[in-house]
Amino acid sequence: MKYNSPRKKYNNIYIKSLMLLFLFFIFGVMILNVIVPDKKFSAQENRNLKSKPKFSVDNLLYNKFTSKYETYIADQFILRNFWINVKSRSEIISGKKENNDVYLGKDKYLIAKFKKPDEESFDEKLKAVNDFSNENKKVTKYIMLVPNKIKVLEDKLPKYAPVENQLEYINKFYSGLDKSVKTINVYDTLNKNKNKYLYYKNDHHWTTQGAYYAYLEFCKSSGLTPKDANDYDIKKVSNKFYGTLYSKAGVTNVDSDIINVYSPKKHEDLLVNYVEEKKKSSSLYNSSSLNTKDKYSTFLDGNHPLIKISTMSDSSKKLLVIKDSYANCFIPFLTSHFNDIIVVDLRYYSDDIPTLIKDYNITDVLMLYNTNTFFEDESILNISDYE
Amino acid sequence: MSLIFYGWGEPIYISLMIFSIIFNYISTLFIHKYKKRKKLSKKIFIITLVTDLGMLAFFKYFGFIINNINTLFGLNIYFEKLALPLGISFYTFQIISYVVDVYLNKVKVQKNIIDFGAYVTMFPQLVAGPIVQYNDISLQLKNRKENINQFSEGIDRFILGLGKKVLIANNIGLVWTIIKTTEVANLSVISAWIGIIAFTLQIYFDFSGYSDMAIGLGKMFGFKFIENFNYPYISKSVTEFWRRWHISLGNWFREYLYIPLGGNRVCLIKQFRNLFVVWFITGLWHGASWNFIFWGLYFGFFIVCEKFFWGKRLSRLPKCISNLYTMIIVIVGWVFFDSNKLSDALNYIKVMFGVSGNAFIDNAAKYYFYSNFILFVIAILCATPIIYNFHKKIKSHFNARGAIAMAFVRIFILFLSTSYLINQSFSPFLYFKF
Repeated sequence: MKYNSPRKKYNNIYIKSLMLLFLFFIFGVMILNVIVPDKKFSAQENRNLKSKPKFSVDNLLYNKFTSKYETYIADQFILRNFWINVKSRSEIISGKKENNDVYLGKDKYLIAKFKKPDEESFDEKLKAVNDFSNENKKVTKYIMLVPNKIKVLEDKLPKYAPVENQLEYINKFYSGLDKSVKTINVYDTLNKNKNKYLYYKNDHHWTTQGAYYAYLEFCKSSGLTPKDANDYDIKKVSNKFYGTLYSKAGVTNVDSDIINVYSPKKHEDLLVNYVEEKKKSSSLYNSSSLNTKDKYSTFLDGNHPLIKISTMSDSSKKLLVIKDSYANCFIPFLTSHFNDIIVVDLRYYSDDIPTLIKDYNITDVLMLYNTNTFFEDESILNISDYE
Repeated sequence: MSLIFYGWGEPIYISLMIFSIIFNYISTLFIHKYKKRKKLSKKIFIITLVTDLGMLAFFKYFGFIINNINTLFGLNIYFEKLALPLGISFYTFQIISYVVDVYLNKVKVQKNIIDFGAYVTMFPQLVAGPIVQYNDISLQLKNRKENINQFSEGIDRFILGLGKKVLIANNIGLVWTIIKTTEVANLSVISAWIGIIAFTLQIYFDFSGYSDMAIGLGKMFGFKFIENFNYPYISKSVTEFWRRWHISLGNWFREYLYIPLGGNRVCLIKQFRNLFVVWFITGLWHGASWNFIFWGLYFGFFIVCEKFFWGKRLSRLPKCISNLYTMIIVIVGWVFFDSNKLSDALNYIKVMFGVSGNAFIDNAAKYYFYSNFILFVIAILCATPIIYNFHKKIKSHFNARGAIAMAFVRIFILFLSTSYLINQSFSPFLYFKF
C-alpha cells in the first residue's frame, strides 16, 4: 500500500518531535528550577515568596507539608513573572476586561472594583461615627469620604461593566450622620476636573492634584482660606511609579505613574514625630521610599499608628486626622492652618480617641477615608467606645 | 508510586486505602478458595461488599444520613464533619467491580497483592475516573509493553486534558462564579443563561479534562483505558447523552446494578423500579445531598419518557431540534446539580424562563457576553468533534511540516497551561488593606 508508508513516516515525525519537545520542556524546566536559587521577594506582587518547607513526619501529617510544598514550587518556579504575564496577556487578547477584581479601563487606567457594603456593616459604622460625635461635642467634626476611580472615572470603565454606584453609598452614609458632623462633598469638584490627572493609573490612591481639589473643598467647609496653587512648587519626584493595582491586576501593558509633591514656596519649618516608633523628622516626606516599590509611602512615610506634626502656624487650632492612606498626600496642605496636626490610623492605633483629644487639646477632627477602604475595612469601628 | 501520589493529597487516608487493599485482597482470595462451598463463599462475598460500601457510606454519606435523621425525627444529633478521602467513590467502585467479578468467576483472582494494589491505586484515574473495571485491564497489568508510540500518544492526550482543565474549564468557571453569586432579583434572563451555559461547559471540560489526563498518563505507562466522554453535548436525546457522558460510570451501573436487578428483561413495573433505583443511586453517587438525588431522578424521568413515550418521534426530528431539546434538559439539569438548595435552583430556573419578572437583558449580561465571547466560542467548538475532524483531515494530508507544526501546537498548549497553573499562586499582598 503505497500511501500507508508516507503516512506512517510522517506520523512518526509527529510522534518523535512531540516527544522531544515535551521532554525538552519538562526537563528544561525541572533543571532550571533546581539550579536557579530561590527568590525571597516578589516586587510585582509585593510580598515574600514562600521558601522550602522543612520535611518531617510531623509536618507531613499535621502541618500540611504537601500543600506548602506545592505553593513553594509555584512561588519559586523559574521565570515566574514571565509566566504570570503570559497569562494576563492571553486573557487580554481573548477580550477579558478584568483580572483579580481590577478592571482594565480605557487609557490604561486600572480600576479597582467596589464591593457594596452589607446593611449590617453599614449601620454599625454609622452608629460608630455618630457615637463618636456625641461623645466629643466640644470639637468641630468633619468627614470626607473620597470616591474612587470606579465612580469619578466611570467613563473609563470597560463598556457595560456592572458596577455599584459608590456615590449613592457615600450620600446615604452622609445623610445618616448626626447634624454636628460636617460632611464634605468632594465628588463634585473631582468630577468637574476628571479630565485632569486626579488618580494614579496603576494605584488605588489619588494624586496630589486630586488631594489639592479636596483641600479646596475642606477649606470651604471649615471657613479657612486656601492657599492658591501658585503658592506651591510642583516637583516631580518620580515618573516610574507602579502601584498597588499594577501588582494586583498582573498586567504589564501599563503607563507608569508620576508622583508630584506640592512644595510651598514659602518655606515652613515643621517637626514630624512618629510617636510610637520614637522617630523624628523635619520633613513630611520620606525620600528613600522613592527607591522602593511602594513609592506612595514617600508621603508621611506611609501608615503609622500615631504621628504628631508641629507647625509654625499662627493658628491656635489643633487638628486630629483619623484616616487611611489617602490622607497622606492631603495633610501637607493643612500645615499652615493648624498649630498641631495629630494623625491617627485606626488600623494600628489601639488606645482610645477621647483621651487623645484631651491630651493634645484637639479643636477639630477630620475623618478622611477613601470609600472602598472605608466600607471594606472595619477599623473605623474603633473610633468610639462601642461594644 | 501511586501511593505517593495519593498520599500527597491527604496523608492520613492512605492508611484507609492500604486497609482497603489488604482487606479486599484477602477476602477475594477466600472467595476464590471456597468457591466450591457456595454458601460460605457467598457469605464472605456479602461481608466484603457490605464493608466496602459501608466505608464509602461512612465517609461520604454519614453527614447526609444524620441530617436526614435529624429532620425526620426532630433530633439534633451532632456530628463532626469528616473529610472525604480522595477518590473514595472511584476506587470503591473499582474494588467492588473486582470483588463481584471474582465471585461470579468472571475473572481470575489476583494472587499477587502488589498487582492488586496497583489496580486499586493506579494513580492516573484514581482521583477522577474513568472507573476501570478489573476485567478490562487484568491482562494489561502483567502484559503491557510501553513503547514510544504509546508514550507519545499518552503525552498528546495528557496535554489535551491539561489544556481542557486549566485553559478552558477554570476560566469559564469564573463567569459562573460571578453570576452565581449575583442576587437572583438582579439577574437578567440572558445573564442567567450565560451563567449556566458557562457551568455546563466548565463541568464538561473539567471532568473530561481529568479523564483525558488519566487516559494519557495511563497510555504513557502502557495501559489502555476506555474513553469516558464522547462529545456528550452533541447528543440528540437524553438517553444518548448518558451513553456519551461519564461512560465508565454508566457502564458500571449497567453491569453491576441495572442488569443484576433484571434490567429490561422483567415485567413493566419492575422495569420502572429498576430505572428508578439506578437513577436514584446515580444521583446519590455524585454527592451526599438531595439536590443530587433529584438530579439523578430528573434524568431518569426523561429517559423513561424517551424509552416508552416519545423516543421514536424524537429520532425522526431534525438533528438540531433534538440536540436543542437535549441540551435544554441537560443545562437545566446542571442548575439542580450545582445548587445547594432545591429552592435556589427553582428560583434560578424561573429567571431563565422569564417567569420571575426580571429584565430580559441588562448591562451586566452584555458585559459578561462580550468580555468572554472568544472563550465561549473556543469552548463550544472544542465540545464538538469539529476540531477533532479537522485534525484528522490534517493528518491525512500529512507532510513533515504539518507534523512538526501539530507538535508545536501541543507544546504551545502545554506552555500556556503552565502559565495558568503558576498563576494560581499569584496572590499579591493587598497592603492597602493594612
